[in-house]
Parts: sequence; C-alpha cells; structure tokens
Amino acid sequence: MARQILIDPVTRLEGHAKITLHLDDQGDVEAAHFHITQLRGFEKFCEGRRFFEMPYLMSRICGICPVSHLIASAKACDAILAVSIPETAANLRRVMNLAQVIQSHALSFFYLSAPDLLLGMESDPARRNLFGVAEAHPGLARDGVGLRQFGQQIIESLGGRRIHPGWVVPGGVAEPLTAERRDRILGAIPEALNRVQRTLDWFKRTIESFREEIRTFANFPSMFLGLVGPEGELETYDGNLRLADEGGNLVQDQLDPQRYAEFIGEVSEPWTYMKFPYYKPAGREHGFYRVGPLARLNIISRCGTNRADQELAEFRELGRGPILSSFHYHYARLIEILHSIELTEELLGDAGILSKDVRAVAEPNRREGIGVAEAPRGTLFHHYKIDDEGLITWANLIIATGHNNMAMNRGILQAARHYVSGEQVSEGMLNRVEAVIRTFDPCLSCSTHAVGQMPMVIQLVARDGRLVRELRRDG
Amino acid sequence: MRRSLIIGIGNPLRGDDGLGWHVIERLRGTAAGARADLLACHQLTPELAGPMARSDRVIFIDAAEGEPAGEIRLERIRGDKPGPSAFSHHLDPAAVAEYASALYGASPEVAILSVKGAAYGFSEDLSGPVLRAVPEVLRLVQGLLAADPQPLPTDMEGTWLTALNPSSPF
Repeated sequence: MARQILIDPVTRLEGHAKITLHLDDQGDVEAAHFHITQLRGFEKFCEGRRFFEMPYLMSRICGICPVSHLIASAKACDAILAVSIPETAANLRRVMNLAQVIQSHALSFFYLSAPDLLLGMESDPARRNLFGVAEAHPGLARDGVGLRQFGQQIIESLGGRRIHPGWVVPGGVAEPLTAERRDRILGAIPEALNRVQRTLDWFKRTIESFREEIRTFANFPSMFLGLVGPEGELETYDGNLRLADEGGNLVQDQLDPQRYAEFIGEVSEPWTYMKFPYYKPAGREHGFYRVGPLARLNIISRCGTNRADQELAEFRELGRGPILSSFHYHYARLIEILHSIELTEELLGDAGILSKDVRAVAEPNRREGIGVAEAPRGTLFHHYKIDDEGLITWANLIIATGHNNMAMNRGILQAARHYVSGEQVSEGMLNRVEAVIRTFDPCLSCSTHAVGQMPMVIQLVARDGRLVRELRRDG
Repeated sequence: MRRSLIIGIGNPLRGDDGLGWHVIERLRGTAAGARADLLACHQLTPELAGPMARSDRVIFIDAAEGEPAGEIRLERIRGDKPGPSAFSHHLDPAAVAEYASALYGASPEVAILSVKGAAYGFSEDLSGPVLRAVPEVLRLVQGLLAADPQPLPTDMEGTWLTALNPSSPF
C-alpha cells in the first residue's frame, strides 16, 4: 500500500509550509512536495496606490528582508521617474542592502541552522534550538547575536528603524548620512569582522562531519542565477544578470534585468501558492536554477574584497566548477557576511558618502518600471505599471525564494529518498528533510506573501490519498 | 546608579496591543524615562539579550488578554526557566532573560507590567479602559525605577491589581 508522510509545520523557517512525502507500495519515497499554504497577494492590493508609495508598502512584505523590497521597489520607481540617482544615494542604498544581507544571513545561520550544525541533526529536539546552542557554544551564539545586531544597527542608523525603514525613496534616499553615524558604524566593523572570521574558521573545521548531508542535501546539477558587476564580480545592488550551468559555462551574461520577462517564465501548481520560475529558453523541465548565496558564489569571477576573495578561493576547492550541494549555502552565507562587512567599510570610507546630494526629483516620465536587486536569498524583481495619474495598474514580483522553488522540491525528494523509508520514520530523519529546506533559507512571507513564523507538518499519505501518519510541530 | 531598561512590546497598529509603545512614548522626556533606556518593539528577539545583560533591572510593558479591560498585573520573572522547545525568531520575556543569562551570565531583575486589553482591531488608539490605566502603569514604572525601590507588597506580585474605575478621567 502506498503511503504519504506530511511534515507540517516546517520549523525554523520564515513563513508557514508543509511537506508531503509520497511512498510507493514498497515504502520508498516516490514523490515529495513542499507546500506553501498561505497567500498574501501584495501585487493585487497595491493596484490603485500611488507609485511613490510602493517602496514603503512593499517593505511590509517581510520583517526579515524589508530593505531588499524597499530597494528593488525604489529602483522600479527610479525607472518610472527615468532618473539616474546620485552616486551617494546609490552607495547609501548599497550599504543598507549589505546590512540586510548581514543580519538576514546571521539569522539563518546562527538562529535557524546552527542548532542542527552544532548539536547534530539527530540530537534531542527539545534542546535543538537557540538555547541548546548557547549552552554548547556560547561564544558562537554571542557572535551570532552580535552580527545580527551589527546589521540591524546599520539599518537603524540609516533608516531610523530596524524594521520597515522608510528612508529609501524613489530618486534616492530621504536624508544624507552624518559623520557621526558613519563613524559609529565604522567603529563596530573590526569586531564584526572578528565574529564572522571566527565562525568561518569553526565551520570549516566542522564541515567534514557533514559528508552525508553534503552528498544528499539538494546536491544535483542546476543552473545558477544572480546579478554580477561589469567584470563578473559579486554585485548585490545593481549590475546585470548572469546565468551559469552546472559546469560553470555561461548560459547568459550581462543580461539587462529590464528584459527579465523574456527569459524567466513562471508556472503554478495546484498544491502550493508559490510559483515556479524557470529559464524560458530551456523549458520548464530543464530550465530550473538556483539563486542566493550559493548561486552568487558559483557565478561570480570574484567577490571584490580581500578577505572574502581568500575565502572564496578556499570555498572553490570543495569541487571542480560550481559547488552543487545546497548544504554549502551555509558556507556561502558566511563568506557573504564577510564580504558585506568589508564592502561596507570600503563604501563608508569614501568621503563622498557624506554628500548632501542624495535624491533626484522628477515627475513620472515612463509608465512602467522594473527594479532588480540581490536580496539575501537571491535575485528580487519588482515590476510596476502606472496610469496617467501615477496610480499602480499592475505589479509583478518575482521573489528570491520563488526562484528556488523547483530546487527545494527536488532537494526534498533527494533527501527523503535517502533518509526516509516506509513507516519507520524517526524525528531525526524528518529533521534532515526540513534541514534541506533550511539550507535555502526560504522566506515564505516574501515568496507567497504569507505572514508569520514557520511551523511545519510532515504527512505520510497513501497512494489513494489516505493520510497514514502525521508529525506536527509548532514554531 | 542602577541601570534600567524598559521595553514596550506590541503592535502599535492593533489598538490595545500598542500599549507598550504608548507607555514608552509617555516616558520619553520625563524624569523617570531619563533614568532608563527606553525601547519599543513588535516582538522580542534574541538580540535583546545584549541590552538586557547590560541592565540591572528590566521592565516589560505589554498588553494581556482577559477581563476586565484595564486591569493591571505586575509579575516578576526569573531567567532560569526552561526555554521553549522550538525556536523561530521571537521569544517571551522569560526566554530572553534566560538567553541573556546563558550568553552573558547576566541576571537582571525582570518584571512584566501588563494591562488587560479590550480592542485589538486596526487602530493606533488605545481603548478607553486601557488608556485610563496608563497613568497607573506610569506610576508603577516610576516606583520600580526609584533608586532604592521599596519592595513591592507581595499581593501586588503575580496578581491582577484592582481594575481602575472605568469612569475615572485620570
């Protein structure tokens, strides 16, 4: 008799989801689905709003990465205004986006995944949490708290608040940076660098103990997508799109993000609210790709900062060509934190960062605008159309987590086939299935526009649809 | 001088849930507010362990469910309670206190002042009963912040205080 396992809710993620594992008559996993069960629909309810309100409205999509939405939205509005914003404004936006990367990556690594990485996938679930980490390795926990605080304080220094800052506006930013606030941020950089370096050193020593997870956590060929600079360097604010295949060959390079719709299609499935983007020329079946930290490190020529480039060189020794195991998202996340801190120091070290010229003012000059930036979890697209009155008539968002939807589903299937068999399902097995998803650090609040934390259910269902077993955990 | 931290918790867009924000706002610019670090937040996160660890005394201001609306409760909590079995990215006051203890070995005095709310719809205003309770909350905060606070009467701890007269214009 075929069976199905349901994981609902999935824990230690941002949002709400469940996983179903379908077993065949022999008890082997035949199919796996990652269901996003909530819908928020920001694209629809922003219709009729004034376009210049969009950055602030869109930042409300997510409490973890509001800055990324602010920035992509403001860039779409810049395109509607048809302005080139002042260089200082672009650099200040860049600093804020880097701070977002730091605090979001720190949350993912230290709060959500460190319990698995430090205490073990099979460890006591009652202790496998933030408190267990603090007990086992208080230094690591303090570094996590410190890094997240560092990122949040930069956002607060620039935007006036840690969550949903309204400082990024169409045409630039609302206020210039003061020397006092700059110096406060710069003063905290040495300690932040020490914290991430210590964590990287610990993680690199630990990584060998996760051979099995590395082999089975969404470890397969795929394409990788992200923004890059003119020379292929890591770029989180601007730049053009690069798509590389599993061998590192460039499928597309320096693709103007304004043309995204020619290359990225989206399909829906009846069992989830999250769409499945794909690379159109390759078709739905073969056009899936990954985004986010792992993808970015796989496609770039270099990070562009000294210490991060040294770490990137070491990271690339993990394999020949692109690193295919999604387990290494964790590693990539730490390197990106390092890069973000270094680049923040570089940007704030430029005297021009204190310029008062931070905003271009204009009326709408175009009826349509597209804004693209790299969010912590991957490439983020905001696309708006307006009417004669400047009111939004249509909006489309492609969210970082959505790009990874196909990969996450395939990753669950791969891990479930390896760890789950029949009805002899242990909590540790199911935690590994969840842990595959955590490597991607999906933000389901963003990608489905669902609110809340991320509890999870795993459900075992028979081929005839009968629920055989269910494991439910609160977030 | 003892260092105090006051944390208002809640959503200022959801009526009485914004009590903590209102109280923090009222404390700003007052003598009592000047004796403490003031913070308002939607939810408690692990990063609060740092500021808590640097404080000798922490007071949380929050709305509570139940009746009668406007009733005030003062509760002292300890940081040595067991933490939650699963963690997402928010905590309750006891868990943050425990986390501060685990990370930094800190053990500030921690108290929660809560007021039973009446309305949690979309509003930036407090309901009448909760609004009328605010002066008493401020008075209690001031008492807790006193340089050498008098021990609270045992009947004030962990019990709901008498509901204020709903018709009082404060």
